[in-house]
Amino acid sequence: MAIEDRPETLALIEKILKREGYDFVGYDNGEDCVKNYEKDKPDLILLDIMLPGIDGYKVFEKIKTMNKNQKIAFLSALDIGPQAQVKLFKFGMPKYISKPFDPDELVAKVKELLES
Amino acid sequence: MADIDIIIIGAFVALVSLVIVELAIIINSLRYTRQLLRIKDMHEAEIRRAHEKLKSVDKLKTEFMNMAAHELKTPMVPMVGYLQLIDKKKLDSEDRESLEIAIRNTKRLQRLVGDILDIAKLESKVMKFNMEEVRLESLANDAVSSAEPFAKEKKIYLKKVVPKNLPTIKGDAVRITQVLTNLLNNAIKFTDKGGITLKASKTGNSVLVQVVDTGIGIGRKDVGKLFTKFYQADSSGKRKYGGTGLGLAICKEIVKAHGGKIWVTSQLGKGSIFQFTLPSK
Ligand SMILES: Nc1ncnc2c1ncn2[C@@H]1O[C@H](COP(=O)(O)OP(=O)(O)OP(=O)(O)O)[C@@H](O)[C@H]1O
Ligand SMILES: [Mg+2]
Repeated sequence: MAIEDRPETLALIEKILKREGYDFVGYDNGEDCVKNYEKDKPDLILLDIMLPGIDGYKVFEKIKTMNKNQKIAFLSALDIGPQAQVKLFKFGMPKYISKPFDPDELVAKVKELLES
Repeated sequence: MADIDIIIIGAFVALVSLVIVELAIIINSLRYTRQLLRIKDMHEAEIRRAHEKLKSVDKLKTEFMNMAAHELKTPMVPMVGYLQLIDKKKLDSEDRESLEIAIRNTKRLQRLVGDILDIAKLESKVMKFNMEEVRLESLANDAVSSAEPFAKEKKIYLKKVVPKNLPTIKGDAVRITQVLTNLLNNAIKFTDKGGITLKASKTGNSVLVQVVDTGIGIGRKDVGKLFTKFYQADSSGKRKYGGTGLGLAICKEIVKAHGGKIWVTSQLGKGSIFQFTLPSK
């Protein structure tokens, strides 16, 4: 599952992952992701940070309180500063994939996360 | 008798006037002190106000910088991604070459945007460091393994000499790795035979890191200027090596922010040693 507000980028992630044979569902905002979470039961969530409405950090907290074992990786063009790291520390440091990413790099990271 | 009276009265008058003068002085100085205190209060309030203002300007600057960084990178995501998704096998050789040039240059742009944002954040003190206790050895491993393919490609050696008992340092692992990677990539870029050795050792309360190469070396007139942003040696000649001249300026700012020093010794035609210190914790 991926949450990404830019349609072109969301479609890009979908293309890359489907080509590798993964099932994929994407949302362009955090609320829909949270609402459909129980139904979708994703193995992995790729989460943008700067989102309209609730931001990625909030989505992260909400999902983790529903299921603290859910695998989530941030996918963002932001530098995660020490402050945000402290904020997220209580959930265990999430993985971080920085944008822009190479398709191969994204696939490798997703594989690694799914196997961990 | 009368004389004595006069003397006593005179003394008394003198004493009284002395007391009056003293009192006047005391009252005056009290008033003066009060005035001074008031001025001090005014100044303090002013300083506080100025400080608050500076803090909010600083916050605005940081916000602007982070927004600019994010907005610059955002359109690069689909640009870099979709170009690489194009199936090269479906293209004829001319189109394939065009695509490769486009990809090569988007990668260049991507690096450049990253470097320019880094130097801007470093110079304006907007960059935040995530200081923790780090072992240099593991950072050196990361940097060497990411540089290894480039050394292989040029058929030069890349060695690492890091003692096991090196003290830990307090620093930002990502940023220190960035320094190591920059120095190793430079060394590889400017070395055609022989190779590169990454060394670390303890000196006093610091860890000394050295990147030793057997490359083209640096002329005396350039040595002092290399850490200036956009400066590249041999800029008179044709651009044989590419790059922008930001790598070493970024290294310098990062090392400085950690409380260390960075410098180079070199001999033209023989090779260079780029070295920096990081205080151990
Ligand atoms: N190991 C080295 N041997 C010889 N010259 C070097 C070495 N490292 C750096 N230089 C000289 O210092 C200059 C500045 O280096 P710097 O890393 O800042 O920029 P760059 O490598 O040219 O570009 P960039 O790092 O931005 O891609 C280089 O252009 C080169 O002239
Ligand atoms: Mg360089």
